[in-house]
Amino acid sequence: MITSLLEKLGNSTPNGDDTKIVNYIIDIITNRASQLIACTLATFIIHSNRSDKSTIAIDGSLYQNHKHLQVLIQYYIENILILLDSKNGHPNRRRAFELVITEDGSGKGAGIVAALATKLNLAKGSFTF
Amino acid sequence: MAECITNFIKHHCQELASKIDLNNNQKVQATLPLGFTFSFPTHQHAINIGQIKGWTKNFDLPDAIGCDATQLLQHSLNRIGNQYNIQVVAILNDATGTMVKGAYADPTCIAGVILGTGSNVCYLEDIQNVSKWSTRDPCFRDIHSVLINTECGALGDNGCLDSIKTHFDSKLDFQTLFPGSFT
Repeated sequence: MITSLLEKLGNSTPNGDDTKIVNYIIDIITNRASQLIACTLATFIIHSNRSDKSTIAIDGSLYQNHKHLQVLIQYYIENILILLDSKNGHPNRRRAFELVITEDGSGKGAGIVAALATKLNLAKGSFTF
Repeated sequence: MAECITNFIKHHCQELASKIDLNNNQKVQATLPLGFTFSFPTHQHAINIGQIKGWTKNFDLPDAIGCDATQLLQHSLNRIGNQYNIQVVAILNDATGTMVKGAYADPTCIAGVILGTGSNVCYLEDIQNVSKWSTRDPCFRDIHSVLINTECGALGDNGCLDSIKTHFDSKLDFQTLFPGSFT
């Protein structure tokens, strides 16, 4: 896959070193992206402060298709939570959280909201904010 | 582009209508309620009013800024005939939609996340922490939590993440349609 990508970018004869370099760059970018996302999500898990499980619904092509990213995000969230909890004096606290792929979440969510809005007759403007 | 979207909607309306007719011999309901996912920042004034705040992700239609996206869609539907009497009853952000579906499947859901072309998070906040809502009239008394769309893709637009940004980031950002925003 990387070879064909390099060919597309104009490198007609990519060698082993080229693909290794590209692989390395992809690894770094994925790792950094996972850390940034994990920071954000860990913050929300701590903020919501649930005693039971915290479920996070995720949709989007990047997360669905990038299996390695899923593993890394899970790993980094676990570590950030442990780090922050021990900083706040709870070194043994383990928060339960689950990342769930919500396929076509945005579309089906809109369907649910439309159904609710119709049922509760919200669309008449009685409930403005 | 507008024409392309219009044709797409037209095509799907017909497909949907034929499905309804096949599965259900009864008369089609008087109106078909439609929920609209709009993946851009909006000022939401009601469940069916979403004023476009600005564009992101290499989409730019400056004329539409400040317009109500629900009305724009409704007008377009009406313009193509709106044969099936589709009413746009709700507008919501894609992260919000994900959270709603997530919470429908699992009540312990605390946040909805989008990781695709852009990224966004929406979460459940205790209404006590939202002054705009908790201090309002008694009809909000029985409501305990509210969904907050953070638009956290814009985190760092004010420079607070500059310390972790590299020159590769700036180079990439410079080539986007809106340098300096949603990096």
